[in-house]
Amino acid sequence: MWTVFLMQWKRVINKPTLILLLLGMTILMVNVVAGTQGNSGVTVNVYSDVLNQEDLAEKVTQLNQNDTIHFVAKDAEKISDDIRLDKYSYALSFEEDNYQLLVGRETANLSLITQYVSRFYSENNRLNAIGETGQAIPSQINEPIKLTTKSLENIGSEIVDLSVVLGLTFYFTIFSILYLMTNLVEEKKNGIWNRLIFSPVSKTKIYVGHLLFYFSIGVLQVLISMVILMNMLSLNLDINYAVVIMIILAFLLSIVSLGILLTALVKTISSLQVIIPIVTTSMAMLGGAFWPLQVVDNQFLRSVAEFMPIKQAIYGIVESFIQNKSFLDSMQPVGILLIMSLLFMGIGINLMERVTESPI
Amino acid sequence: MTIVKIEGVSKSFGKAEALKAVTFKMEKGEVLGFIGPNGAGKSTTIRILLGMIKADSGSVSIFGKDVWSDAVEIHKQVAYVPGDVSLWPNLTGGEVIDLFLSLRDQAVDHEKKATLIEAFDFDPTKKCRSYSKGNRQKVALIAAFAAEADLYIFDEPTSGLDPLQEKVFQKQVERVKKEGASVLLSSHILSEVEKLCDTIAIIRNGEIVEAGQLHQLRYLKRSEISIESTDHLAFLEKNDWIHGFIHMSGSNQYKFQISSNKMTTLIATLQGLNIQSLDSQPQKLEDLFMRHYEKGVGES
Repeated sequence: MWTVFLMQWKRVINKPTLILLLLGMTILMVNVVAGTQGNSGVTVNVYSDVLNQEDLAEKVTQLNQNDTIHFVAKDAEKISDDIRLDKYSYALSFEEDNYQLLVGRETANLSLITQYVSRFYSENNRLNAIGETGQAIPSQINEPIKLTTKSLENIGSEIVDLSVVLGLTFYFTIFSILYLMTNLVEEKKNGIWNRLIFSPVSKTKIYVGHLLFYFSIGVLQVLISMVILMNMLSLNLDINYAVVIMIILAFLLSIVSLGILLTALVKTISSLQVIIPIVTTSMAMLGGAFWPLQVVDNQFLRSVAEFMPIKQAIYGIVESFIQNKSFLDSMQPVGILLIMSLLFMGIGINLMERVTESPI
Repeated sequence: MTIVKIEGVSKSFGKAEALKAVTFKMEKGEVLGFIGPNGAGKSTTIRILLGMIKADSGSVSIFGKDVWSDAVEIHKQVAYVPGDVSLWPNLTGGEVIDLFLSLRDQAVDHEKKATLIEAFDFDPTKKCRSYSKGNRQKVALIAAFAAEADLYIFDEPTSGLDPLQEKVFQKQVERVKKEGASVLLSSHILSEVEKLCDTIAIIRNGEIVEAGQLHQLRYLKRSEISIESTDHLAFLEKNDWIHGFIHMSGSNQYKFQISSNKMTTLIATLQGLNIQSLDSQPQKLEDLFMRHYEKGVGES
């Protein structure tokens, strides 16, 4: 088994182009996608009919302490024209202790912005009220209950970055594993596989040796991609790493099993090379690797997504992080992925062994 | 001690009957020539022996073990070289030889391996994708002969080798035979089979049509006689020890076969006749093979 495993690794080391190319693609694509989605932030235009320029500028400076939302002071007339021309959909009008929304069109960001600005005014008003009583103004307000809201619908750049990192890493890892599996079909077609069967190694060990190799390639690619990308995007998330590891391992097993099923189903290497991008890309699109599944309204597509290993893996990890799930609760996608693996592998090996017995 | 025992083995692929009650056996230290025309069932028999496919009926055993259920155990003592060797294209010849040997779970005898590489005049540093058919066969042959096996199965092992390398192969077969191993040699090069083998099994249309020790085969114990005489020799045909009598039309040439032990009787019979020339040649394996092959062609 280990001889087969090491032999496959030796082959990759002798010809590492494919793996290096896909690893490079993962890093490049994550940077492009995360750069356009996650770090763009939200710009909010503000004006005031009540405050003078200095007071408005001071409020903007205080509000801009948030990294995600960026406030820009503009002329009231210009803002009114821009909203009318739909250059942007909303703006804020600041008053001394209150604010108003000027909305041309409803957007998803609006609730997040009002929440942030309301909190800012509420804190300021409370501090001012304390000041009026003649007491010393505290530097900050200690809230008895601190409510933190996180959800997939909210645009939190870290969550978007995490799902992009996971989605694209998994997408390119599927490519690597499945493309390497074309070697298996090639070996079966040109008789190299039979050379192994003639050796004193059982079929089970030959299969396990191969599967372990594809699995290890997947683990290595995910690991390298994740480490590089988390550092590049400065993602420092409070994630339960045991959950992440379990889900990733189960996901990779399901992909190796899917590969076995595909290699058993196709007759030639060229047809496998055609099927791989179709299966991989459609699976990634349906499974929400390129965009959040929350933007998909079609109930049928949402149901289909449940059968995609990539969906189970990405959302298993993201939901575990957002909802702060316990280890056991987070194991549900692992179970689903293991059932998928069993199903794919069972059918795949069965089909493969059936076609082996043919006349010369 | 019986090493290989095949009894009444039949195998069909759909409606095509590949093997029909094939029966033969091999003893320890024996070199068996397994010959037959293309599509006769040689490779199917070898695949069954290697546990690649399961026979529909009959029993097949190697070292007394069932080839299907005990395949892994059997393969530990068997070395196999196919006719068309496929190798991993991006590994070197040397790496593949090492791989084959390490799969056997035995300590690699590096000295033996180096000797074989030199004997076969093989460059192990090149990638397998650059090897010719002959060089690919050398990889498999070196790996097979470097292994400590009790049974060697060769399926057209020298089809890509030059005559010099064929001789190296023959020497290696003789060596392993001396060491007590058995060899099953499937080959179309009948002179090679005749030179190396103790026993033969001829297969045609999935049936064994001739099997036994080479020196005991009835047909091979005959001599081909060619006589030129001005006397009329047609009377010889009536003798029951004369076979295949032919009088070449328009000439004084007569051809027939006799059992080798009837040479004295023939000379006594020919005494007093005007014999211009007499030529006696022992029958060759090729004649035997052609006889079966032509029969097959005529039948089909």
